[in-house]
Amino acid sequence: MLKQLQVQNFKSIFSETVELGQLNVFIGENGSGKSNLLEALALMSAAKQQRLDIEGLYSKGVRVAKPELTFSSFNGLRLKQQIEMSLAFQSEKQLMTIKSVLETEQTDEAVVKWFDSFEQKAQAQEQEEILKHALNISAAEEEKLELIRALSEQRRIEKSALYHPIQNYLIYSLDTKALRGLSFESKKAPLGINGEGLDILLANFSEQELTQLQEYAYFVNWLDEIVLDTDDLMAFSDLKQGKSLSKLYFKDKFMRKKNNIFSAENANEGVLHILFYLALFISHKTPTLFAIDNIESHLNPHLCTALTRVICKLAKQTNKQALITTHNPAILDGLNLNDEDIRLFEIYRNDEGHTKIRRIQLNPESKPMKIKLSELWMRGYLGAISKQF
Amino acid sequence: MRIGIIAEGTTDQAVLENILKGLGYDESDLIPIRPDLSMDETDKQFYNVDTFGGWEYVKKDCIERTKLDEFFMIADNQSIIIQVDTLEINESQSLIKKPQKQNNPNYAQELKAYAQTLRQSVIDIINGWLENNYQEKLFYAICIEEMESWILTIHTQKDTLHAANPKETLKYVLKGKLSVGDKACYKAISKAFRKRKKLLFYSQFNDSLEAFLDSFS
Repeated sequence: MLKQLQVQNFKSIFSETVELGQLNVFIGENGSGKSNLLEALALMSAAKQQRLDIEGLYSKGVRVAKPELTFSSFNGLRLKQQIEMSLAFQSEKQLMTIKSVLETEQTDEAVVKWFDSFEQKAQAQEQEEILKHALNISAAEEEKLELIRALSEQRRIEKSALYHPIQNYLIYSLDTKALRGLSFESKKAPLGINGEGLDILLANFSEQELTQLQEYAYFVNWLDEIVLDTDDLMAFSDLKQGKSLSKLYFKDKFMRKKNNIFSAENANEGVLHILFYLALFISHKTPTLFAIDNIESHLNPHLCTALTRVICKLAKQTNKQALITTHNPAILDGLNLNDEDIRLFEIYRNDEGHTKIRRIQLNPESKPMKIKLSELWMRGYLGAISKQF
Repeated sequence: MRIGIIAEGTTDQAVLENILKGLGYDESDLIPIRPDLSMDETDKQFYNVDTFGGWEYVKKDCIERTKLDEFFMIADNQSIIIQVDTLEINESQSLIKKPQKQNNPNYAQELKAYAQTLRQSVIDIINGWLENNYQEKLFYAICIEEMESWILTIHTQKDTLHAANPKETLKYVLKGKLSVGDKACYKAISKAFRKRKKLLFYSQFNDSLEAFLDSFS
């Protein structure tokens, strides 16, 4: 699990460290830097996947900007042309650190080449160490070559295991058109960053995953059944007038029996969003570490609370770690802040405009009161609201 | 560490924000509790928004204590500033009479004593409203007469306790540039408090401001 994230010189984050739990919710004013935090991690993910090209960054949900706007730019501070990031992962035995130093070769051209100078140096050093080790032993040339190959492969496997969670990290920001199968901007598998591929993921659910999903059918009161037309046999039955490519259909329990099936194209936004989040947390094929930007979109407040409660539970069951942003106070009412794995953070700008992160915790000495976190937020006691109006 | 502000009005909040900045706080550390941010359009039908403040409301909050209890539920919310002007509370509670200026050779001395005693009396009243709860977490911004007497220190650089009517004096000094009740205006005319050195310099012209600053040391 990712325990700590340090970011320096990335957009509005001049220098900040955050200690994460399993499910992390970030609240803050518009423009406070919530998305920047999620993007910092996506940038590092792209670096460790060697996908620092524009396509690679977009596919992870990064809003690509020219380097001068990607490095922190604050009044009175000299522009430093390096982004530094450090992650501490807790494995079963120890805390492992991963670092990146991101730089560019051309800072004023339309096409910019980003590279991870820390990774490059580390790789060169590793190769040197392996070579030194091989040269220092007395063996035939062929044996030495074999040893170099074996040691290199061993390092690659070790690194691959260490980098795996961060390499697969991405930011989901749902778009109803993508969920309906009407747009395919993200090619990421199994789920695109805007919700693409939900039907395919569901069609490939194991029995166990399907059973788990069915537990939450109560979220949608009209839902009789989810229908996955894997052979696309219903494609010609006029149920997809908008030419959706999704094979996802819903059966409504209140409609007339022979006229109760409709496609994802015609379903309400809520059911598609709920289904996406449940599938994301239940599936063993989706990343173990990911972010969700604005989870509340299209959801009723009460549903937001119930969904949050469920994803907190699912994250533990399926070992997912998530960073989630929201502007909806109802999301907070599904969080149990007495659980160390569930964390709430305020993201704000200080007087210098730097993005800062503060964990919101309950005062253990305070007398218990019957008031919701959502109300405390609306009253301003958690921060994370605009004070200027 | 976050600090909450219970003040008579939004203009008082604005001045306190500048003072706290001068004391080294970041504005993001300040949380307005009264007047609060959560009044919705429906609430506004039941309250006169222009007068939705004043010491009576501060009293109500202290007696009810709900806002304070809720604020302190969050671990980072460590203290609260309670601000009141003494002018109205002194009149209504008949606390202490202001010394006479005419033919009074001890006027300056008596005025100082009056300010000190009045400040303590109002603090005692506030603690009474709160039934002595949270005392160790509170800072008292007691403005002798009005908040304008604190702002006057910037614009006159004279002992402002002498001003008979601080608001009117400030209006006169600012040559009509004072917009009463306008938070942005009060923020602008007290901007000099944001610099620590200046804040400490101006505080020598008002004992109650000085006492408030001293309570942070």
